[in-house]
Amino acid sequence: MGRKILFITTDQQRYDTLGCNGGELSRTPVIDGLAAGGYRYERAHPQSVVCMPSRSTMLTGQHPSTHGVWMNGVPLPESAPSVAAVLNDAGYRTAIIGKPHFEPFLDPFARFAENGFARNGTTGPHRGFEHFESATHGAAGPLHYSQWLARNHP
Amino acid sequence: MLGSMRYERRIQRSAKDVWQLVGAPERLHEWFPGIISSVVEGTTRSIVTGAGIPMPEEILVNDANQMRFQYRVTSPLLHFHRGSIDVIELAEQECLVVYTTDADPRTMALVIGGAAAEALDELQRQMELSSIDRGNH
Repeated sequence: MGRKILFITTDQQRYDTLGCNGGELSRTPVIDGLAAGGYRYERAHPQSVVCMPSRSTMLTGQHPSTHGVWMNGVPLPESAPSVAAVLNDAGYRTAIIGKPHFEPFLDPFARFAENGFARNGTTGPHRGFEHFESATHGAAGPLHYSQWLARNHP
Repeated sequence: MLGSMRYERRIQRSAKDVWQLVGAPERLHEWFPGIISSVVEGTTRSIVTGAGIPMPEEILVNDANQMRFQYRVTSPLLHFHRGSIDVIELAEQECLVVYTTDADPRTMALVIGGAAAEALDELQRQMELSSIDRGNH
């Protein structure tokens, strides 16, 4: 197995909110330090302006026209390729913690696996991740973090 | 403009047998995978979805002669909704079940319609499985 991989994404963040990209309002010394000691891509572009298609591209390596998630609310097919599955097959232990949102939040009938894990007391596996622990923007909803909040800080 | 979705399944079972389940609104949770309970009082049906969301509904039509069931979700989640299920006899042991969802906002037609399509799959599975049990195939 090769080196360990920690892939961090943020949601709804402009590139120029970081100090290393010229931002002056927020202080981001840790990321600025990482940028100073690593690579800072100046011509990288997300494949979509909204999060579900963009994140689906990160997972699959495909354009939205190929993976089919052309807009928020459109689920990524379960059969879509996953870099996590490739790594897991190669012997990596894989986990995702935070906001996956590969499947719609508007899911009253709980048709999508992501929305059922916390309620069922499970954490995957799903889409190549052995451990799948999810959150979203707010404190309400069926995902792990909001369920934890409801239990511990009602 | 409303969102409108329509799904249908050809089921190898008599229309009368299929209607016996479809026309019993208190048995919805038996064949609709995303619904965990359904209670009927008069023309009001209260369902609880798989995500734990209670959803009140009004039964509009339950016509055993036409084998037509119509209802609307009265939850504030929707400005307008009408669901229609028609069971149409094709042969002695074959029928067509059509499930239509009209909704505003339009997105909700996709959400409810998608779940309805899965419900039709489950209805077909149950009906054709029990048909085999009864020696019809």
